[in-house]
Amino acid sequence: MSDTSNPSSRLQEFQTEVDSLKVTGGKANPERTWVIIGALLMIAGIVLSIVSYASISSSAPLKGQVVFTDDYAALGTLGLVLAVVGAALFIVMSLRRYFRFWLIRLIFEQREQADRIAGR
Amino acid sequence: MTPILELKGIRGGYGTIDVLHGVSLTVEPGQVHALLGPNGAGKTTTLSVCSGQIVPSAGQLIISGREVNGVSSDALARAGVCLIPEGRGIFPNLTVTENLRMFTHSGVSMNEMQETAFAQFPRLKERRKQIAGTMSGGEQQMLAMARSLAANPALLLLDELSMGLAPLIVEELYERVAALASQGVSILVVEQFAQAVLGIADVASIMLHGRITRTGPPQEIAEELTEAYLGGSTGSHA
Repeated sequence: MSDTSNPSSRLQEFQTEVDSLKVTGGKANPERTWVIIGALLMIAGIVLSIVSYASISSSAPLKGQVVFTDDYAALGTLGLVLAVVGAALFIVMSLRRYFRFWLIRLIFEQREQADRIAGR
Repeated sequence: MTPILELKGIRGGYGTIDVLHGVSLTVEPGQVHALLGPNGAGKTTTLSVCSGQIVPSAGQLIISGREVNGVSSDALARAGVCLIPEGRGIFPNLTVTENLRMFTHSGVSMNEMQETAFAQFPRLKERRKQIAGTMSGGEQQMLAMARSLAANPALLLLDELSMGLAPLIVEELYERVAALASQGVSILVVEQFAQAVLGIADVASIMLHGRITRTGPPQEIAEELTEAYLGGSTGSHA
């Protein structure tokens, strides 16, 4: 334990400890970015699926024409996967933000209730 | 000398709702800075930003000259930033001794913790086996302050020390705060009831609606408080 009778030594010690802090530069609203990414992935995945599967069904090959049915199917599947991943990301991050502040509110309400019961 | 705490243009709050709209204040080493304001002004949120519990959405939190936006609150606590929150922040279901044990996370041994706490507040020694939630408000506040003394903070953040306490107890507690300040601890104290703290403060600021509207010597701030809280001049009504 440092010497409390010497304020300047405590300040120097504090300065040293502050300088060694790991600062990640966290964000105030970390879920927002992931919610946006999830929404974009969802939209992109849906569009890709629709376009790919539409291309398969509309492809009536002319004689000699090569039809890349398998490629369209693969793209369509990729689109579905992206849509599912995007939707999952969107829902999870939205719920995380919602529950974070629901928990804080719950704590405050319980504290108020405890104070009321204790007659404070 | 480098300020021990600086807030520059801090904006922040809860989720998408900003409570602080560009807060700037400075605490010099060894200074007692009183932050005054009515309910809902954003004082507690300001302390939450200072202690690392809330990450500001804009602006800079600077401690001892280093920008520390996003630093974890437990790392700041270990470094020497101690917050005594509104409502004391003790564990009401634990005894006094158990509460002190819970506060040894900062690296202080239990023996040191008890020695400091009981020396400063003999009443706590008498009640060491009592459940903290059954003690009076003043005794709970003493317990909360005991941990701050034992943790040897460089920067002490006090939130509404006087809340729910009798004036005599408040006076006694602020004498302890003044003693801490005389030992060189820098203190940012938030209060609704200005008279309690203006006697020991070196600088005072008024906070309204998430903004600091005035900073100056305590005597000047005391004269302007009523107008600041109620807003504008109170002219006669016909």
